[in-house]
Amino acid sequence: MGIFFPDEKHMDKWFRIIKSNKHKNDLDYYISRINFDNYFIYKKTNKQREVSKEDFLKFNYSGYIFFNKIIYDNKELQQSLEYLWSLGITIMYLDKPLPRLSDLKKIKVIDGL
Amino acid sequence: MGNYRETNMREFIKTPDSLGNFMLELSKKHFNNVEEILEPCAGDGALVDIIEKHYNVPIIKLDIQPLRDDIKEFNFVKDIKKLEYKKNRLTIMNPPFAKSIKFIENALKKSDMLVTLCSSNTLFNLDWDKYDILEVYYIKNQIFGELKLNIGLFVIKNKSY
Repeated sequence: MGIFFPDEKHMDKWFRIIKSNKHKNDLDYYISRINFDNYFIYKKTNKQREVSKEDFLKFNYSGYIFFNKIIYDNKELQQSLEYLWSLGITIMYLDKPLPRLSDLKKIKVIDGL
Repeated sequence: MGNYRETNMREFIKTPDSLGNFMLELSKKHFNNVEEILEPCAGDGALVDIIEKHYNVPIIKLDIQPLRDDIKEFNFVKDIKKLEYKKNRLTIMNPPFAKSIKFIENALKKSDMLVTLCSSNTLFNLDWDKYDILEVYYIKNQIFGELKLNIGLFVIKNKSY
């Protein structure tokens, strides 16, 4: 199993790096392409949380999502996740940036009808 | 996920009446100028039957594999260019959850108003900035046949509408 790594043109805002059966190269093959100073990193499955570069390099989870520090607000992302958890909402896969926290507050949680 | 038809394994989840009625309540609450309704994944017509109780307007009933004679065979992903946009059209649907985003995007190309179920993950993967999101529900433990799922529900209109 290798990893899916994005083309360089897709790395300016946010991107995902995930384990993949379809790809052969491992992380070492791509690692020099990432300027870690430009991004903050989250594990993308289950209880999402920020991980350090060192944690990312261990690649203990199935996928990670990188956010450009200039464009995205790490504090707001964390607040958004905590807000959703407070409603009992868990995100299975964080596949892209979340809507703004002010928008997420539109979500109404109800029990099955 | 979901129930599967034996013929081609396509994802098929029948819309429960309670959920369908809730979708229609929301559409009545937000949209008062509906001239036509589109149901692009009508399946066995469960949602169509509920729509007909609430609206007296023409209904376009489509499905990739219709299970009823009054539903036209149509692939809402591949054949979308064959369907014309119509002003004051409302789409109400319970799409295949694995294709929720594509169905939502296509629905809002062919109509301006939308009430749709979706997977819970779709709530967070749709581009909220692109549309006017009127209401969003996260429905916990919704029963679909023998399944119990957390699902999403959007009420959306196009920003230009």
